[in-house]
Amino acid sequence: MKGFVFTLDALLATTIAIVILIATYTMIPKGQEDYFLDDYKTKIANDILIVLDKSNTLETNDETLIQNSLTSILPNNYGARLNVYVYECATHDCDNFVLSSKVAPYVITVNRSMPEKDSVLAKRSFLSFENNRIKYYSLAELRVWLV
Amino acid sequence: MSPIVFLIFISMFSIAYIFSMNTIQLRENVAQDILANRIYYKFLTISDSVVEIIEKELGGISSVAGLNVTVDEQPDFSYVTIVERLPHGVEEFNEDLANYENFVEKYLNETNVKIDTGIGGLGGSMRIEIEPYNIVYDHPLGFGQKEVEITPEETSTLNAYDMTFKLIDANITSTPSFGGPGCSGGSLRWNVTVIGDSSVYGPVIKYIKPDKMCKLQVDATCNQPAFKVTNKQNTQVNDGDLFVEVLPGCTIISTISLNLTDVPGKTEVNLPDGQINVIETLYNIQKNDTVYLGE
Repeated sequence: MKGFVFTLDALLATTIAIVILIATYTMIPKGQEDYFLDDYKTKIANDILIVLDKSNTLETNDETLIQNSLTSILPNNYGARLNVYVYECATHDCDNFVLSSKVAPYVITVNRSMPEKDSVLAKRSFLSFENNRIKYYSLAELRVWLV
Repeated sequence: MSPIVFLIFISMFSIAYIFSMNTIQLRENVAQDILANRIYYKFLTISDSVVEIIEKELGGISSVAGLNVTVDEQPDFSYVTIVERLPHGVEEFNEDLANYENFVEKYLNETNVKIDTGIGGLGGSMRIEIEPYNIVYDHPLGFGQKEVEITPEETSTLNAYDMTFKLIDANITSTPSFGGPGCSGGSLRWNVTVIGDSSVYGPVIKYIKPDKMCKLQVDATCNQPAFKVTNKQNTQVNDGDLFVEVLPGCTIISTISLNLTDVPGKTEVNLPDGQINVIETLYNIQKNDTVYLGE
């Protein structure tokens, strides 16, 4: 009977040890996980769009200029893909919008060869003016990821 | 031995449970933080675009028309200057605001994020609030019309109105006249300059009584009077209430600078509250704010 108790005790101890090991093994990576990374990436993406907009770079719709600006602003360890959609009023009273016939949607990428793993998306609207009136209503979508 | 092992097990389990719960809570907090940022940036893109519409479409004071606001904060004083052409056309401006509102509703709404704005109607009266001084710059007849009224909630921080009125395509025909019981012996400084095509009146400084009526009348070739500037005396209005009225046939560029004793807090010039409301429906996070000018 005494032997049985010792065996049961040893078995229980081994089980607990295994449970502790498994729990530790699964928890260690969780402890190292950066929960704020997506938040940080979102801020980077939005701030880049604000810089590109407020420097009047986006409204030029000059892909080379935007590409150069984006490359210089983007941190080196990030990849990015910028989609720009340029709209104009579809009707005189501007109830609807259509993609501009003069400026087709365009895509600009930086560090494209890298995978877009765990990317985040930021959106910003911006306006282009001509003769003190809005000419184009545009939407910029910037996806950034860590390379 | 068994009780010790059991205690260790319970302890480990408790620690793991607490750790797990904290991790879940942290994830939840971060998720809410990301959503809050998403809402903030959504608000910012709308607000920035509205300011850009105002600046691009109304900023050309001398040539086209409009409204221009600047804020100059000094250590002891704040100066808020509002330049406006009276009257001026606002149809195209209002149309573009309404169009942009349509665009926002069509392209910036997302799953769980709803945008409710009143920006399409901003050009109605274009009421401007100067905070933290509780001063309102308004257009009683509507934006773009011939009247402007500045209403201070109280005058303890208001030192002076520095005013320059430039007549467009008209000249001063006689010396502008001040009239009324409040035109002298007061504490509120009026510093007035009137510029005609070929002559300038002023600068003239008067210390007016904020609670008594004082009226400046300017006659010009476009009309007699061309415009009137009044410190209102009326039980319905606050002391120091300034009213500018341009008469038919005349157009002026009004530059009114408010000299304010600095009070704690940033001087902000904004449109009425609640113009842009961005709501996240999942966690019910929202930013209900307005558009800030002159920053």
